[in-house]
Amino acid sequence: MSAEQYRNELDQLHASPELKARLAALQRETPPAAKPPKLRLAKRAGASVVAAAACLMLCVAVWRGEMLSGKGGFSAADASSSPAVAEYSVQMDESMREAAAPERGTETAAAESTEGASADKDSATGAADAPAPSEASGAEAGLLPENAMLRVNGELYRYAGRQSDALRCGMMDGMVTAVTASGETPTEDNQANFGTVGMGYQYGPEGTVEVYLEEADAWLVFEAVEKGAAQP
Amino acid sequence: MTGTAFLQDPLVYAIEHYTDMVLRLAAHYAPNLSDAEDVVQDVFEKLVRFEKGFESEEHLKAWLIRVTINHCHTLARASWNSEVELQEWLPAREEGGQWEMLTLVRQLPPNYRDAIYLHYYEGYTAKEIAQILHTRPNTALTWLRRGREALRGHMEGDGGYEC
Repeated sequence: MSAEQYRNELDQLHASPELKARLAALQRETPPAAKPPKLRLAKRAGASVVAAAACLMLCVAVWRGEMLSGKGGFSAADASSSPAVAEYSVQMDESMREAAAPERGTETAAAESTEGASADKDSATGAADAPAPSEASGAEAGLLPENAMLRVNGELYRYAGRQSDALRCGMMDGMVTAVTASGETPTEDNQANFGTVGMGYQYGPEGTVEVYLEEADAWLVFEAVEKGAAQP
Repeated sequence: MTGTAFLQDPLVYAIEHYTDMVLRLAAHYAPNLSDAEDVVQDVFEKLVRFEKGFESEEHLKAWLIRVTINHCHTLARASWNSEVELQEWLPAREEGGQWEMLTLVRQLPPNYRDAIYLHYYEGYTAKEIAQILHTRPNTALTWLRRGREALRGHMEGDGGYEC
């Protein structure tokens, strides 16, 4: 036995007529001339562009939904066309907001000077001034009793009777962990005399705290009652 | 179809020229003829879906070998558990003999099998085998040497070899 015998054996292995028929069928199912790779790549690139466009549209839709649910002071169409939106969005980022708080005036000025922002200037700058939440309408004002209070970091906050329409991220700065009877003054941190345990809050501008009331889908502004406490 | 003409339709060219080669390679792994033929069909279906194109005829051949070997390894691990004697499913040899050498080679570890086939049947050098099997030339040489030793051991009747 040798390599020669090995070759002889293999030489006698041939595709059966049945296999040939299967391959012929495969050949028939395939277009006679394969598409040039370039075209295929272009097709794939086109598909990628379509997918990217779909993702972009989805993101815009989600963003619009947030705008609408946030009861923003300007329409999504305005927002998408206004360069001031970038300023507005940055302004709403929590960490950026804190860092930028002393420079708010300059940011507002920058937003006002942005080309193309004139149509939205009022609303955008108003938004940029979001640290001063917009005055609530009559319908919005009565969501909580006037004596609704919350204690955060040793400081007592009282319901200011208005909502915040600021854009915000979903990250809460804290959560109400205890609820006292209505009318009682919260004595411990993260204690409220309204709502339910689990309500989240975020630090707002100018020493306020904004509590998210899920049933109303609204951010309610609370102002410090005891002045002088450290604002986080 | 010669020269670069195969580039226009690699499938037609491959079916015409390499069907037997793929079948022979598959016969080193498949437990029966039906599975070997399925491998052939699978490999050519992969060729239909292959979009990158081939630089040369040799590239196409090496691609077919590589894909066949990979596919056989995968199927051998996944579902080819029952081994049937070659004589039971391969057609009778024209000279009336048995498939003795192929039977012996089939008993080798997969890497030795591939190296033996590529060297002794296809005529590839160790360096070329290394390129096709994505390994180093020295490794391919080792597979060849151990495969030969194992076959010699089988033929001399000791029946054993190192894996």
